[in-house]
Amino acid sequence: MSRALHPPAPPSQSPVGRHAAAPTYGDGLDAADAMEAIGGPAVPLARAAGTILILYGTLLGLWSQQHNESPALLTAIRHWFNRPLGIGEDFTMLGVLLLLLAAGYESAGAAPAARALAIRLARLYAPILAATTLAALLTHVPTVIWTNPMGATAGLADYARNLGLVGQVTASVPVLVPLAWVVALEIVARLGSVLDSVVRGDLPVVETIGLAAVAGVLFAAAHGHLGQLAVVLSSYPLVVIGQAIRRTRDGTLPIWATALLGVAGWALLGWAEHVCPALAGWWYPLTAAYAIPLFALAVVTGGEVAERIAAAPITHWLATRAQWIVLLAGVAGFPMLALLQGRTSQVTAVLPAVAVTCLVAEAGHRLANWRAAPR
Amino acid sequence: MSAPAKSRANTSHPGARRPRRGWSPADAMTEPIAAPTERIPLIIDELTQELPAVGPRYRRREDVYLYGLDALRMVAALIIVFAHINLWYLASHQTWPAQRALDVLTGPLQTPIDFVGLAAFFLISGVVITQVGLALPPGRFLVRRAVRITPALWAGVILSWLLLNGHAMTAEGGASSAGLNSLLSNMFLANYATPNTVTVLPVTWTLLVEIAFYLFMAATMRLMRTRPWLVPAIGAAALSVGLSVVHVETPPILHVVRVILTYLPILFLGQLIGLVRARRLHPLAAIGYGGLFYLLFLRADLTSSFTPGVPDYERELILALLVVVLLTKANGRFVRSRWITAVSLRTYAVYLVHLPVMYAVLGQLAPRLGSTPATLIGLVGVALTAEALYRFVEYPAERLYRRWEKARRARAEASQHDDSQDRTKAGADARAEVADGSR
Repeated sequence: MSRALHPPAPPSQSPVGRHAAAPTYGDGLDAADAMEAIGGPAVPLARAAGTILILYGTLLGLWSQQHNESPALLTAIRHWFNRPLGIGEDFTMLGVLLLLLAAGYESAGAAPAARALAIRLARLYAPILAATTLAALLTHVPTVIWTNPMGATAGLADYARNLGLVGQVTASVPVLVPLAWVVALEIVARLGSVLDSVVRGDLPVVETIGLAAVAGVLFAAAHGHLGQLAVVLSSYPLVVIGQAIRRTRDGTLPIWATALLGVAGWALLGWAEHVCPALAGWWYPLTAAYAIPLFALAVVTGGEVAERIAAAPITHWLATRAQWIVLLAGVAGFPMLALLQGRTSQVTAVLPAVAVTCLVAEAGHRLANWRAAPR
Repeated sequence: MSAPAKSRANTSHPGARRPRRGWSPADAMTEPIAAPTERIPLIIDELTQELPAVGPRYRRREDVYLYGLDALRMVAALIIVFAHINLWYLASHQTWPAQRALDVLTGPLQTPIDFVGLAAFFLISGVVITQVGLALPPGRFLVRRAVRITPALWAGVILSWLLLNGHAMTAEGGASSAGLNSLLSNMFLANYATPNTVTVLPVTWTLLVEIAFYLFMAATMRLMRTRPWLVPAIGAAALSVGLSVVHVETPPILHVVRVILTYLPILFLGQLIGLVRARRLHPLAAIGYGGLFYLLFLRADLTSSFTPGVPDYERELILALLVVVLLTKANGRFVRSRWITAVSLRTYAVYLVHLPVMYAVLGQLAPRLGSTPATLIGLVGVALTAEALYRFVEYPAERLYRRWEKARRARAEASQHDDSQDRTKAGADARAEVADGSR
């Protein structure tokens, strides 16, 4: 779709300034328009890279771990990259942190009008709804999906709790879609942008509130309360850092303030390691120490090559379907891996698993965005 | 160092901050350069004055001098000084309050950050030397590098040798004195390959890596201008072969070679950044080569029990790499401030003198005054000695050489001008004769 064929946007819809209603990557824009709207190639690049890393970490890394398999490719990558660099979970967390940074960067753009915000939130929630429903159904079928704990069977009550994301913050409920918290944090970031438009100042109020909330929950966890919520919220500082980077780029926040927020956010991630036993030993602060400058690099060095890669159809496709693919990898990809287990090598089986995940993600994305599709 | 009047006048020149759509290296010859100290024009001059047709292809004048890397040089020097102070306290079984503060930072990173400083220096060297190499002929490049590092190195070695023989400090291995033979060996860095020689200034091993890179640069300079993509490939191939061949680290000469081969990939990573900045290499090619050099570094680490001497160096390298690339884009008021530039210009001097001065001060004062006052006095001593080294040795030597080089070039140009005038006159006479003949 050529941008030249579009009539100029009316002034009220023009994404100019911090408080204008900026479109996002899920608004049915083409790659060039979307990139212009969100200010450069960083978001699509981070989303696409994050999605690929999560697909690799889930369908090859996690599956192999759970089924005591060790494909040569996985072993080599672990030997040459994961172990020396200290990046655990076969890059899954690195992918997640890139998605969170991108989510924060995007959410700091502007708060849309109430109706548009509701539509965006609904579109963000749609993958959670679809993946949870599919997972709940598949727990009653003799196949394998990624749940926590593995092999959980979901009753109606568990399904409802998972839809309300209660499972993510309560240890007693089986989690049907373990990565749903990533999208949930993006929803929180979007809601935060509403507060941002109310405050309408150049002070980093929303970012500070975000970090203070995380600190409060971690403090509570240190005293034996809200432990599971602390685990989930411990990654929220990455969203805040993404927001701060965006505001610095837009000129509404000095770089030293972003640096301070960055250090504070990173320190909270380090604190969470001590407070939450579930996070100990995963070295997330180290992974964040890679993810943050990587994302910042994508923002400040967004040259012609980066823009060309970001505008490539595959990058755009991955970036716009990121939430769907991430949530469906364990729900749609795992059954395919289970089907092919023993029939072909695991590395070969990953390809159809990725294909199925992407097909279901595409169907879900189209369904959720059918009104926004250009006619 | 106070800025000369000429530099101050240049800073206020209206053209200095004029927005420009494009900038070519040749512009540096005619435009004033807004630089806070006298050395920066020298550096920009070095980067831009030669071979404009095949040299770096910068889009804007701001791209030439990397102010962000000045700030990183300063931080890297601080990290190295801090790491060596820490080492002294560890070796003397004493505690130091700052160590606890560092643990808070390095704990979540799961890695000591001691070597981040060194990795940053190597990376910065790779970037800057590549830019310089693209703009100079090989001979002049090597001479300028020699003038840049040698006088200060000699001064640092002599200072260290004097402190050692004055029993103010001990050398590596516990030696408390060193003869003239050791002094000469250290001045020419031959101590690392010569058995039974005392190393009086242990940090100088890094210069061996730098010199190896300079020689590689000089050897491949012509190729870098015509086929820049080939140079990192040659470097990677040579390193790979070298690592395969040199797989033992005794006698000492083989250890030296192994150390050079292990750390050279870091300089090559810097070279890739320099080539991309100079628009001589496609960013995607640089990413591919970067992966290759990372794997070579890792291979060197995995196949040696001694080199590099610290664990988990890959993490520190990648963290330093990300910061270096990020800071090549920094061009704000903070990184352009005078004091950052001034400190960054003295980092080589700090690097050379911090170990002998700090260890001498700590050795004498820490038992009497306690760790904190002794460390603070040591830091002041390092700052003063580095300032003296920079002001009275490093900078004058470089300026002297540049003056001599300039005068030599002016003489050469003048004689060329005379020759061309003679040729023009002879040609005119010949044409006149032909014209006379035809008439």
